[in-house]
Order: sequence, then structure tokens, then C-alpha cells
Amino acid sequence: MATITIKIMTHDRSRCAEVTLPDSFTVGDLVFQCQKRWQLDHSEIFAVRDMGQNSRLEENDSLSTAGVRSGTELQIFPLVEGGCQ
Amino acid sequence: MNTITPTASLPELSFELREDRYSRQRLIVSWDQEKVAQARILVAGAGALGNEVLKNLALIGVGHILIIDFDRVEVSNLSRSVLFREDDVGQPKAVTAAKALQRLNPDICVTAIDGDLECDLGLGRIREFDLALGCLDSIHARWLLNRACRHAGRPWINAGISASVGEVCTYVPEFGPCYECGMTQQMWQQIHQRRSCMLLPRKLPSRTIPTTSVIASLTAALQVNEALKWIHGEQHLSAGEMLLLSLNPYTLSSFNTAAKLDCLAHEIYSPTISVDAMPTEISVAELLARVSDATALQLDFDVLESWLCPNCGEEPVGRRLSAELGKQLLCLQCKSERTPRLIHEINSSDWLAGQSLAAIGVPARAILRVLTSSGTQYVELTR
Repeated sequence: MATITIKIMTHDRSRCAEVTLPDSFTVGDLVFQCQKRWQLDHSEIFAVRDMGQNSRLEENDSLSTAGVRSGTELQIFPLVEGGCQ
Repeated sequence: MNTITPTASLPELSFELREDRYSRQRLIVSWDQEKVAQARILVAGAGALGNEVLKNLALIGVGHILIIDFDRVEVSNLSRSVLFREDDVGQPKAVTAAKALQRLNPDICVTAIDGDLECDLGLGRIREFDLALGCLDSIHARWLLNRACRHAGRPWINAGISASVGEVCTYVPEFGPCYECGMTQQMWQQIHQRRSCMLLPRKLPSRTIPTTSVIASLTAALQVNEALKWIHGEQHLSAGEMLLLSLNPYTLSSFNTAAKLDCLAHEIYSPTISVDAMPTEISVAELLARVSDATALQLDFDVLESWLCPNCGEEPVGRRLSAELGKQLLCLQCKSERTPRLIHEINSSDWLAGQSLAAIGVPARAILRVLTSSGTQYVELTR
């Protein structure tokens, strides 16, 4: 099983980690782990973007399918839904 | 030292400044007030974001604005809503905002729909506008607006806010990702929670999101700026490119989202056959008769055809499912649990074919899918 070492941070840079993960790990798994370990607001919805490629990653893709390699910097950000109230 | 001597006298230039409401913005080199005055913009949602968006659109003189919102003004809106006053509490947001805009700028034409996106806005009405601005507060409402704009072939600009984050994203009907392409499983779950296990709509309390007028006005300004780029035909965000604004720490970044090739929202309802009728004036059967080789009307929404009670039998209903919000699953006669029978396709031999389009929940200016032996035809009600 191949592993990769990536850097992941929150959009507000309040949390940051360098982690080694199997490349079969999905983007959705990564979001779930960040929410859980960093105690991010569970009522908010988060997505991940590749800072180098400047693109959002699809949650069902594995890290390897999403083109994430060792050394890639990822950012987790909220998909905000407020506006009308 | 070289000196430059003019070879001919320069003509006297006349800088005549037309002092009117728009004279300062006319000074902007790329600005075209005529284009702004001719622009037609639909604003969905008149809350915190919508107020700021509408205020900006009115001040710059966007000529035609349609506001749609089903909500009423509440006291808690007043801290973020520049168009509402304490006296407005309890009044419809769309109508109240339209009146305030008309006072702010009597040059412009503002109309309001005190209704909801799902039931009261026909796709033909959306097609009258150059673009739509989504100032909504739920994933479900954004999903609805996205589908409507995509089917109507109109671009829309989504915005969302939280306490310190604002997002703006442009969606174009012909290409690129749409809002639905970027929906996560959690977002789909939120939409599905709006239906019970029997598929009946559930009224869920809307989530109260912490926010201030600061993030609302900043995000709305970006959203309106993006609209101005559209109006002027200037370079705007690419389709599906999201602008992410953060107040803590200050950052503004943008990034792309990929389109999903199998996304169900990517169908443009065009070209259309026009039928000069209001939904109250024409039945399903009459509509089908206007289209050659028509086999069925295929609706974008579910119709509650009937209730099936194990003891009392079938009770016909024939109304749009969302109009049946909060109806009991128990039979009114014997109190047994009854089952809803839902359909979204009606052919000319169904009993529902005798009903008017309005009775089954089709709004004015709808664009409808009619299945024929040779494929799908789109029929637009012109009234």
C-alpha cells in the first residue's frame, strides 16, 4: 500500500498538520478526519482544495485519483450557506 | 536639454460633465450607463445578502430588477438589512425591499414576487432576465435556483456567508460545472432530509447561521461587481470558479471546480414551442394536443395523485406534492396509515389530464417537457 505525506490546513490557518496517509484514502475521508480531530463545526459542510493546482477536489476521489502527491498542500474550507435570513 | 515645441495649437477641449445621479460612475473608463440601465437582473432572496445586493443594484441604476422571496421581515433581520425598518416587521420581504428600492432610485423598474422559487417562478420568467443572483440561505434553495437557471439557459451568481467567510461563484448554462456538480454527500443529505420516508415534504426549521452586516456587505459587493462585469461584457470569473473571502485572517482567493459529465441539471430547455395560455386556461390534455405525437407531460416535480388507504380505498388529490406540506399520513376516515401515490408523468388518458395545469401546480410562464414519439419537446406558456 502506497503512502503519501501531505500538508493540510484550515482556510483560516488556525490548524495545520503534516500527515502520512494511504493514497487510497478518499478526499471525503480526509474531510471527516479533519472535522473530527480538529473539532470543526459539524453543522458546516467542508471541501478541500489543492493549493498548488488551485482546484477543488472531488470528495469521492481517492487522494491518488485526485492527483495528490507527497508534498502537496491542501486546504479545507467551508461551503457556506447563509445569506437570506 | 531638448525642448518640445508644439507644431500646432491644440483645439480647445470641452469637458462637459453631465451632473446627474450617475455622473461619477460615468467617469469610469469602461462604464456604460446605458448597458446598466438596460440590464435585467433577478434576485432570489431578500435577506442579509439580498438587501446589500439590491441596494447596490438600485444605486448604480440597474434598470429592471425582479425580487423573489417567500419570507416575512423579522426583528432579527434588522441588524443586517439596510432596506427594512422596524415598521416593516411582519411584511413580505420581497415587496418591502421593492418599495425601498423604488424610493432609493425612482428611475428603475422593480417588481416583486412574494412566493417561492419552487412553485411560483416559471422558467420562461427567468429567461426574461440577463442573469440571476442567488442570495439564499439553504442548499435546497440554491439547488432549485441552479436547476432553474441551467434549464432556462441563464447564468447565475451564487453567494453565501457565515460569520467570517463569504463565497461568490458564477455558473454558466452552456459549459462548465454547475452548483449541483460541486454538491457533497452531506449537501445531498440535507436536501433528502426535507422529505419523509414516504417522500412527503417536511417543514424543517431553517438553520440559524451566525453572521453580520459586515460580511454580508463585502460578499454582496463582490457578487454585484461580478454582475457588473457580465453587464459590461468584461472578463469575469470563469464558470464554476469560486471566490473565497475570509475576514480572519484577511484573504481573498479563487479556485476552480470540475464539471460532472453525468450531472442531471445540465439540460437546457430549448428550443421551445410557444403556447399562448396561462396555466389556469389550459388542461394537460389540451397542452398535449398542441404538440404533434405527444405521449406524456413530464413534470420537474412530483404530483400527489392520490392517497391509498387499506380500508377506505383511493382518495384522489391531483396537486403538487410541495403544496401538501404537513398533511397527515393517517386516513381522515378510519385513521389507518395511508400511502401517497406520486407521479411526475401524465399522459392524455390519465384522469389528471383533465385538470388545468394550474391545478397540478404549474406556475405562469412555465417551460414544460413533453415526451413525444420522436423525443422531448419543450413547451413554453407565454403567460
